[in-house]
Order: sequence, then C-alpha cells, then structure tokens
Amino acid sequence: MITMGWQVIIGGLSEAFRLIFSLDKTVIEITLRSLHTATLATFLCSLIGLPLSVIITMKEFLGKKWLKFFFNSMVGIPTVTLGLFLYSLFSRSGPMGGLGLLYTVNGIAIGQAILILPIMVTFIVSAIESKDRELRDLVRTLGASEYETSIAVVREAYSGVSLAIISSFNRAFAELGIATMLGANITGITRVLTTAIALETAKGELGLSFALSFILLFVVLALNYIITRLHGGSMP
Amino acid sequence: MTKYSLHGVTKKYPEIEALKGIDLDIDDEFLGIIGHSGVGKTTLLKILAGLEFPTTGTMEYKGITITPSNIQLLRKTATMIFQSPLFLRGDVFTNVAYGLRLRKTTEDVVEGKVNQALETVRLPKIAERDTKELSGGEQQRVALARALVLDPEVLLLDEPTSNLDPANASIINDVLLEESENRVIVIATHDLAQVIRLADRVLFLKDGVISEEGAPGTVEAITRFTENVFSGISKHVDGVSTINLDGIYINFTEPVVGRASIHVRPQDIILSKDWIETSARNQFRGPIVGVEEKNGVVMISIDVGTVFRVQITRKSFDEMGLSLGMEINISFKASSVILL
Repeated sequence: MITMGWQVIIGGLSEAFRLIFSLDKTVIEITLRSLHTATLATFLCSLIGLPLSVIITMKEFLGKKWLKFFFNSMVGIPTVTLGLFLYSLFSRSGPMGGLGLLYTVNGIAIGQAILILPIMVTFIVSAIESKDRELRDLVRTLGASEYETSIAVVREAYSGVSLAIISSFNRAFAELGIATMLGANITGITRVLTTAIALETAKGELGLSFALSFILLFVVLALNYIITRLHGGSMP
Repeated sequence: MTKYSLHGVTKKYPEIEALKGIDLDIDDEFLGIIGHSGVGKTTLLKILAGLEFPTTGTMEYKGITITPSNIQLLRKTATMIFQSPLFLRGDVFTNVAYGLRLRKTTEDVVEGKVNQALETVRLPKIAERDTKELSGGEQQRVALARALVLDPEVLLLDEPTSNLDPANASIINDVLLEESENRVIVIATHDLAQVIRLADRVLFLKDGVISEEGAPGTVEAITRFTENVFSGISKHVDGVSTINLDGIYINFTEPVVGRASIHVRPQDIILSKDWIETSARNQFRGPIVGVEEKNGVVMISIDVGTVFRVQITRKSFDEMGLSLGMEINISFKASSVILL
C-alpha cells in the first residue's frame, strides 16, 4: 500500500518553485498555452456575451425570461458533456469537421468560449439589472441614444461586468473536459495545464502534477489580485 | 403655442393600468399635476419626456406625432428630473456636463455652461465635489442644473422637492419660477403651496384620468383637495402611524416614517357638540372660526390647533344650531387619512 504523506505535497510545492524559477521550457510553454486559450476564449465570448447581455437587459422581447432561465441553468454545465457534444460537431465526419478545429488551440478556445458564455451573460445581466431602471431613464432624458444608453449602463455596472469577465476567464483557464475532448492533450500542440496535470497524475508523476497545479492556482490568484487592486477593493 | 397634444393616451403595465385615457394640450405654461400616490403622475411625465410610449392613443409635440422612431428627438428637447436624484460615477462637473458631451459640445463651451448652470441653482464652486458627498438638497439642485444646462424646451419634474428641507425646496421653487420664462415646465407634486405659487394651470389626476383642471384655486375639486392637507413628521409604532402637526397628533394606517403629507376629506369628518365614544382614532376640540355655504353644502372651519375644514349639509348645520365661536368636536377614522 502506498502511503501518501505531506511530503508529496511539500515536494510538489518545491518542485513547482524549481520549475518556475529554472524557467523550465515545457512548463512555460504549457502555461502560456493555457493563458492563450483562456484569453482567446474570453475574448471570443465577450464579443457575443457583452452585446447579448445588454440586449437582454435593455430590450423587451418574447422569450426573454426563457433565455435568461436557459443561461442561468447552463452556468454549471459539465465540461465533458459540452466537450463531447462539440467533439461530435468538430470531428472529421461531424457537421463542422471541415473547419479543422479538432485538436487545435483554436478549437479548444471556441469550446471554452461556449462554456463560459452562460457565466458571462448571467453575471453581466445581473450586474446591469442591479443598476436602477431609473439610471437608464436618466441618461435617456439627458439625450442619450439607445447605444449611448447601453454604454453608460455598462460603464456604471463596471465592477460587476469586469467580475463577470474575470470569472469567465477563470472557468476557461481551469476547466479540463473541453481541453481533453477537443485538444486530446497533444504534446507541444494542445497540451495545457489541466490536461497535463491529469496526464502526469495518471502516470504517477505526482510531483510534476502538484507543480503544475500550483502554477495553475498561482496564475488564478495573481490575476484576481491584480483585478481587485485595479478596482481599489480591499485586499489583505 | 401648443407644445403637446395628447389624444386618448393610455398606458398599461402588466400589473396595472396607469393611464386610462388622457386628452391634454400643453402650451407655453407652467403646469402642475396633483393627485394621490399611484394615480399615474409619474407615468404621464415619462410619456411627455419620451421615456415611455403610450399603449394606445397619440401624442403630438409641436404638431409632430411622436413615434418610436422619432422619440429620440423628443428626448433631446424635453428633460425630466426624478424624485430621488441619481448620479453617474464621478464628480458634479462630469454629471452636469454629461448631456452636453452627448451633444458633442466643445469642452470650453461645456465648462462655461456647467459653471453657469451651477450658479443658477445657487451652487457655484462645487464642480469638483463627488456627488455622493452632497446633501440631499444639494443633489436635487445639481440634478436641476444638469437638466437646465441643456436649455431644454420642456422641463418635467417628478416631485422634485418632496424629500427636501424647506430651505432647499424654496431655492428650487425660485429657480423654477425664473426658468419658467424660457421654457414649458410640468411639475408633479404633493406640495400644494408649490403648485399655487408656481403653476399657471393645475391638473388633478385621479385613477389614471384627469378629473379636474384649471387655474390653481379656481377649480372646486382642487380647492377641496387642497383643504385639510397637512405636513409633519410621522412615526410608525405597533401598526399605527402618528403624524405630529405642531402639537396635534393624527393617527393613520399607512406605515410611514419621516416627513409626510396627509389629507383628510372635509366630508369624512364628523362634528359633535360633545366628546363622543367612537372607534374613530382621531378626535379634537376647538372653536368654529369660519362658516361658508356653497351649492347647498356648508364648509365649516374649526381651529383645533390647526384649522380643519369640515363639510356638512345645510340640514345638519341647521339642526345642530352651529355658530361662529362655538366649541365643537371633530372626529375621523385613521383610515380616512389619505397619505399624499
């Protein structure tokens, strides 16, 4: 029987420091790829998510409640379920196979963008809705067009909107299912932090797994720290 | 010149029908809208401001029928001020300049106009203050400056002074009176002294329709409505509210804390020569200080510390043998007190 004491975790932590400070090429490459896919996913998602959220909050239309309910429900969608669904779309014989997205970073990013869309939309909608309806009336009565009104509302809901974007990024950065299904963890091409962790753990390389996990955690913490500081929020 | 023409305007919300058919012309005038809470005053103002669109009926502005496609033009001409002032992030200057910047006004013009508008509301030198640091009265005056800086053809105000102390309210009234020379002003208010002082014409809105209109003090329903209107500080304890009117305490049912205005209809007050045991929560005693007869009803003024006007029939008046100077009791139920 294998005993897993604290030394595994401590060993992982020191291994993580060693790998980071020795600028281990593989680790840096994997980390950068994770950042790349999550950033691209967040960007793609924002292109649709921001205007969609504004439309949902500012316009009255049939099925609005159902659309909000749908996005609310999809916040917690299992990543493997979505991954599997997209895999069948993107695979060579699938309806979108011709796009050649399977086993590419772009493919992973698109999958993650779809994954985080419900989070982004739900958070932004609630951030904007928390701003008074009178705020919209105010900027309109001062002469703002519908477009200028939506800009003003998003700007007033700024902290909620940026929190939504950061949460979306974190979810994309830390998810495993889509990166596995659409990326297949190909060394040097689609291997990202989460897929590498899963692989190294399966191989019994717990030290490296821990090291990569600590890097993952560190990036998430660092990002959130920077964002909170930018907001002037209270930090330890 | 006729600015607005409303024909059969209704407004339905999912839960309520706020306006039930408004026909109204508004000229170059200072128009007051009075009525109890929830009769559609705010909705009417929002329609005039182009912030809401009538469910049915039409509205013309300067002869042009307002449609969803040209509503933006109306919004650039008519500016509304809300009951509680709301601000965008930033200082006073940013807020007052907002509308001008939307209109692509050059920055040096913006600066001059903002300073001038702040002087108009008697608040020079506060441009750099954060709006959150201002008192409620200052905030409402900045909101007024933010509207006036745009030099709108129409200024619409929704109970602008209802949460303010008398000093700030008085400044706002002075500014409005000055500004009414240059523009149409429509004000919804509970403050009847304000309407009488400022307005050329008054509408009394009741259940989503205009039930009376005319010059303040000439329309009978409006003068009657203006009778027995009192303001004071209200407390709410054990399910009963009590409002203090200079030492007279009136009980009523609506849970209100803080400054409130109430109205008791003259026909809801019972007169009795002696103290009576009654379920009515309010009973006071004082001398009759005025009697007048109008259209078969008698209006009696009784000074119980503050003057109440009571409406009784000629027959009751004769049978009770009332006369000036006579001490008499008045009583009315807590539920007869209408919160304005």
